[in-house]
Amino acid sequence: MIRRKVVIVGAGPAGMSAALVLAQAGVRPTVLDENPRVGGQIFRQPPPGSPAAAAAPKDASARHGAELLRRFEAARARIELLNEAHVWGVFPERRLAIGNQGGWQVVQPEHLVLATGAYEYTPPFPGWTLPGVMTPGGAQSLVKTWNVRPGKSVVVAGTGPFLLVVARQLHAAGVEVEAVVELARRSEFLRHAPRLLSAPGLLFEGGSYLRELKAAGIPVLWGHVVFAAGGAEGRLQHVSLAPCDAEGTPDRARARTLETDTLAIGYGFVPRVELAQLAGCELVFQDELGGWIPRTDENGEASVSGVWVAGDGGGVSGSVVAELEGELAGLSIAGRLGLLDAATLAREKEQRLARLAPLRRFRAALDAVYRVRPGLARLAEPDTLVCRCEELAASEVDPAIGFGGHDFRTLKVMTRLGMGPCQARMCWPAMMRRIADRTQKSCADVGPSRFRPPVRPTTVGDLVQLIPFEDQADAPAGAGR
Amino acid sequence: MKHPDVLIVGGGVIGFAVAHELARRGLAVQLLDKDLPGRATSASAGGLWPVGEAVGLGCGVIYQATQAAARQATGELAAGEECHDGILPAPFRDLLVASNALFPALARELQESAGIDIEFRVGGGLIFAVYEPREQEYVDRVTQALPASCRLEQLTPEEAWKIEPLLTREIQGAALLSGEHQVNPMLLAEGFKRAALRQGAEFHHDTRVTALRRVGERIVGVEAEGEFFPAGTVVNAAGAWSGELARTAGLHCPVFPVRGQIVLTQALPRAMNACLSTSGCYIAQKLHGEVLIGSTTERVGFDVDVTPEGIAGLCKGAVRALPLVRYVHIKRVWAGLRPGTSDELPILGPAPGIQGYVNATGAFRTGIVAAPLTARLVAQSLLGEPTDQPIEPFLAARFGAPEPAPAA
Amino acid sequence: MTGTAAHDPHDPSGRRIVVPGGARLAFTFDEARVEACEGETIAAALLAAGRQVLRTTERRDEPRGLFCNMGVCFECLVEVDGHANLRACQTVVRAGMRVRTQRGFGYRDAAAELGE
Repeated sequence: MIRRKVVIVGAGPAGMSAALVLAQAGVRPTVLDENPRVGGQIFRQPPPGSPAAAAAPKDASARHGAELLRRFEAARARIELLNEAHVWGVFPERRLAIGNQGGWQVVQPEHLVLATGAYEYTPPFPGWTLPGVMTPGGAQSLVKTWNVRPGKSVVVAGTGPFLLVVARQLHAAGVEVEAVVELARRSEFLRHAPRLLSAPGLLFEGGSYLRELKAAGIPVLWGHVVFAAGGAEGRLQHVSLAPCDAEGTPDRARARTLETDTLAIGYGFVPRVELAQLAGCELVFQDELGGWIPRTDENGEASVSGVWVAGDGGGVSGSVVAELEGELAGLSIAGRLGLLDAATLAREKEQRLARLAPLRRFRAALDAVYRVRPGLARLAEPDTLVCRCEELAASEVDPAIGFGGHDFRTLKVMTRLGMGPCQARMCWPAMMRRIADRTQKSCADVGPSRFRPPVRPTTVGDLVQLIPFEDQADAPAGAGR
Repeated sequence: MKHPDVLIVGGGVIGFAVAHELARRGLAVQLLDKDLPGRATSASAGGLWPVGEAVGLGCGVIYQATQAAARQATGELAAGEECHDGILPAPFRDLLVASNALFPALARELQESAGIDIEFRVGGGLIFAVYEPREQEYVDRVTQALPASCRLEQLTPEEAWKIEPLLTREIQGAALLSGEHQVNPMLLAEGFKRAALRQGAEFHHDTRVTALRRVGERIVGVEAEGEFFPAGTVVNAAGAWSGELARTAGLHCPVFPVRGQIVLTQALPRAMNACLSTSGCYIAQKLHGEVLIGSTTERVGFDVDVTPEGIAGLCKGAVRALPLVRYVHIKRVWAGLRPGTSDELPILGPAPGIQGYVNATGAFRTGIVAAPLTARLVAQSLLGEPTDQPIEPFLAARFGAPEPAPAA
Repeated sequence: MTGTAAHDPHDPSGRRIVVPGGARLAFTFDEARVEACEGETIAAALLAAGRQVLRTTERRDEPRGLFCNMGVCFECLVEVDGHANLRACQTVVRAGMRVRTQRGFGYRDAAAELGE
């Protein structure tokens, strides 16, 4: 087993910032990331030589990401980086099981920073498994990173300002954007306007996206919901949408159909808490932050001492907040390791907390507008798959709810829901809400799903072969393949 | 329900089986349970290997190997010296065989009365893979010890490959127990539970029983969550925790937790006909295609953590026996606690000199296959009826008085 | 920037945003030759080649394609060189790689291949 002072899982904004702060303070952090290049989902870098990077529109966020990546690269000599390292388990005492190059290794840090990010939330609706239906982030990454259009045309649907970002990028990439279908109603903005003004820069950015879409003739349908997708021969051809009430229930009498070969649909993000759960951290339910998140103190330390959480994995708040949280965790660890004197630590922390406060107020207002609504839990029809992996239709799971399957474990035993390779990441956030809706319980009472190792793909053969943990700090990222 | 006829402690497969049996006999039954991690039911392979387990050719092989290694490590057993040979007494084998015979009817009953398919399937039996002469000698001894009614067939490697084409070419031979099958242990427990509920039994989840309440020579109920739950009779079905529970009333029920770690793969097309047992692990392909690789047998107290070493060992054993699985993705790994006993036999029936108390515990590796008959024996013993099988070999009295606690 | 390049041999489906220069390699998908750019994922290369269906499901035999494109949903599973359950969105193409549509659990004829 290998020991390290600090291991950071995830090289997105939170993980990179934590590493930079720690490197600056004089400890050499180990950064593990499952991708070939650092950046996380938001600042994902195309492979070297790809024209995708040059083609992507440059906005404030992209420029900021480029700067962060540059700073990280500049500090690389002081950071141990392992790309394509899959943390598939956390054993007691912060021992991490890491799959890398077809073998595995166990690494035990004194401090573990989980900067694992989030994934998109798409509750089931008829037709959602057709090829051509994907998440907005999935479509975005195709154009931004992979230089491929997801289709000829697209409907971008769901909720949140991210839809505008994606619509704009798809448009710029030459995809015909038929419409942006937004669950939230425009009037709701006015109600939250005062709080939204706490981050005028971000508000302005959102406004400029809207103006761009308008100029391009792309309609933004506020207070609408996509309730079905259809096609033939396994391909998406059209989506059905309708205006909805405040609960998100569509008024099908006023439905209409849009022809398209791609639907990018997502209702915000779900924090990736699998490693935190395996590490034994207490989880709490916070709907506005994406669901179940580790309980932390203001520095990001979880209920298990020495385990820290930063960024969207600790509650979805976006990349700017993620960066500050990463720095905060890094500073606190540096303080714990005795690398910062108390006065410096207090000053540095205070600075970050002061910047976080208005951002969090802004975020709370956004979350109030772009919230997940109970009507979404009712979109699945009897034949709609509610568990993609095990191919379980709502009609196969709903009776089990009626029989008392009100928690993850019982429902899993009764129906096999969540037994598949995604480990319930796809089905449970929606099924939890469906159970809550049908039983009049709260999501907090229904409870989280239960992750088991391996939470990253690992073969039986991988576990047979222990590999040496190589310090790749001086090798270029992704080298040695 | 106030003052039920019977209060059962423990919501594992044994507790639910007993609840079902008693409820259908018309008794007022209450079951208290706190869902603790590491219940043996959830860590069971669901192999119905009555003869295999009775003669140490099921999970017992791994237990024996682990025990021998431990004794060698502590110097209790010299290298090469034969340890306890794993062939358990005939009454235990008879219990398992008779219990196993109840499954076809039970599967139908639970389907009809509870709407639960326990996934009982008749398969190709249990194959013990022989890698070494030492193992062949053991198989020879088992063959001699078994009565003709038990189907154990010695196979050449070619015969074994014919049944199990993906079995390693490394084997020297094999033993086939063709009467051995599989169920889904979680659905079996669920089926018993739902059937019992329909018969009027009452369950309190999230209710952790902390002590038995004893008045003189009688158990009058239990303490749970700061409350007293009176009952006519208390059944101790608390699995790995039942020794602790008995101790609260000064009763001797020497059960200890034996951790079992398990690896489950992603689903595959049908790749196995039989269950496989080796001295490194056992392997069974379940109904939905997943391959289950079990199971460590570790005495580490109530620790339910999975260990890197534990699962790596199982994976090594599986790759050796079935090279195909090298490339198969793992779905998940977890661990459970078996209720172990020093003689590997269950602890059933009353405690000596005590009224109002019945043991239904110590099932060790065989809780699933033994559940149907265990429930019947426990019910019969509780009601003072003659038992289907002799219960005497399984009474707690066989352990005598508790050993004095070692000086601190 | 959004040039229509349907006639371009390097972009037969017209899905590329910028017709790439750079290093190219070839692999097969269900025996058909597919060209890819170095460093890209199987999913990106197949989509660029106009191939949207990556697997069919075990129970319902329904087609599935790319969904999350970040390795979380396990919808884009394909078989690579005889091994099932590889995520097309996370697996980088290599020259000569044999990729197949995964049917159900996969390993339909790999049992023979792998079990020898």
